[in-house]
Amino acid sequence: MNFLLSFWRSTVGTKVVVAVTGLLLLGFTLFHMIGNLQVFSGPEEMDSYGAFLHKPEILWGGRAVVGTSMVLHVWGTMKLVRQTAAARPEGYRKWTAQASTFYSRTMKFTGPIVLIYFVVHLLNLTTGAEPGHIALHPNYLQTNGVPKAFENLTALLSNPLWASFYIVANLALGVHLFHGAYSMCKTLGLSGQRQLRLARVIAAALTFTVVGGNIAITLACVLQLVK
Amino acid sequence: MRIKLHVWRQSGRDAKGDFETHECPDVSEHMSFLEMLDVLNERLESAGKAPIAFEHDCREGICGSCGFMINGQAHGPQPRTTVCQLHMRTFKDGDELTLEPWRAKAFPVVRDLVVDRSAFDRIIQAGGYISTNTGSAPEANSVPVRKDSADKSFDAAACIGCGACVAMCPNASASLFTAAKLAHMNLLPQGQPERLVRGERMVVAMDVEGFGHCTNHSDCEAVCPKGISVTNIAMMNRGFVEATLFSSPREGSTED
Ligand code: HEM
Ligand code: FES
Repeated sequence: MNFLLSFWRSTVGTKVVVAVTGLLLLGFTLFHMIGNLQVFSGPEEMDSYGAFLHKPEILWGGRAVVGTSMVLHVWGTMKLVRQTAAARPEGYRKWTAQASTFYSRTMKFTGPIVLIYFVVHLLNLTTGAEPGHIALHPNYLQTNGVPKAFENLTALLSNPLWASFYIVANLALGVHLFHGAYSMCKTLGLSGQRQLRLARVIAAALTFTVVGGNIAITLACVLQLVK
Repeated sequence: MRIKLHVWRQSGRDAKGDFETHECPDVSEHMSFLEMLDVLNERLESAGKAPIAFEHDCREGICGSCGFMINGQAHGPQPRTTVCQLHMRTFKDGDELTLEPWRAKAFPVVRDLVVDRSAFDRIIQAGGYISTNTGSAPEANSVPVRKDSADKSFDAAACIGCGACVAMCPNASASLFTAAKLAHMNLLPQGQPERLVRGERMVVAMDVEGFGHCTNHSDCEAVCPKGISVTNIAMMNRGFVEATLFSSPREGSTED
């Protein structure tokens, strides 16, 4: 156990944990987006997909992986951001970016926005299904603990305010992923120039897929294209 | 040409510093940046004022002594060039330049543009060496080295330890320096026996000095006068994971 502790204590070790959990979360967002495309196939498809996800093994297995990843990711990044804030107590009067980007420099701001998105999203569409829990939702429907996924989603996102929130939150997620999905490859040790160029392309493609898919679903709901 | 300088002046480690403005009216485009400062310093001295302190030694871009920020760029605007090799023809008549020392908690300002970079020495002491019995130099080709390893190791060994990577990094991280020193040795056969322990110890030493962590901005690579690649950092990260998984705890421990 000692070697795991000293791994976590070092900045490189924490970074690796952040990268691995970031990869798992990226996988989750991708899977989740693809699943939600069912909204385009209508209520029956979407609800039976929702019921499938509510098999206890899948539900609690998924929640354990995503929850643990989220906790470690946020904890790790908070530790790193705090530590690094102390590394330059006196800043520059002038500092001119060389290779860093808007994406890479805003990770510590887009991260917390994604956290808010994550929590609000759970309140919107997940917590209502648990007995006695409240939902941040206009009219949360469920049968025997299984939410009516299609109705709940379309009812929520037909409100332009909620739709705007989801679009902005997804843009922030996109900015986070655009750097994160590439950065994680270097953190995990990918060092060939050719492989890294490929990683850049794949990271961008995954980011556009996740964010584009989520925004398409949101727009379809708010414009009443699916109902 | 005429150059206006806003220079950070600080009389000592714990003194409070501030910017001071100086005009250099008669700068020749053939001067190096440091020669311009030499001329300014002569003027300051003959006026009874303290000259601007800056570090320098070889003035040919190989020792790593010199370096400060010029308008927010480590070593100034010319790629792959130390400030001693930067010539005034890079600038225009009438330019206004802000000169600041490297800024990092681990690099305290000693005076004006001079910072204490002994944190780098301590990172090297933690593992940047090869333990071997000395004797007469071995026959050069007695240990074969793969060509691509030799090339990569040589590229990393070009690091002159100037500190520009730390200075430019938004996180004040010493990852490029540490990774270059690691790649330099870890890619050669002679570096193999201590490879994992070296990686672990130097990473820990870098943290202990109070440098920030790497978030893969690559600003360091862009200003490195020797063009050291950030891919070395990826190799360092991989080595650190390997060390955690495979080196025996006693070997890897830094408490001894
Ligand atoms: C679905 C949610 C999320 C995904 C997919 C995700 C993904 C990633 C990835 C792939 C990285 C790159 C890791 C690396 O450079 O090695 C990263 C870094 C980062 N994440 Fe997230 N993240 C998510 C949520 C969050 C949240 C909720 C926060 C904070 C509250 C956060 C804060 C950060 C920060 C600050 C970094 C930069 C880490 C560093 O210093 O290197 N992320 N994220
Ligand atoms: S003085 Fe030696 S590198 Fe500039």
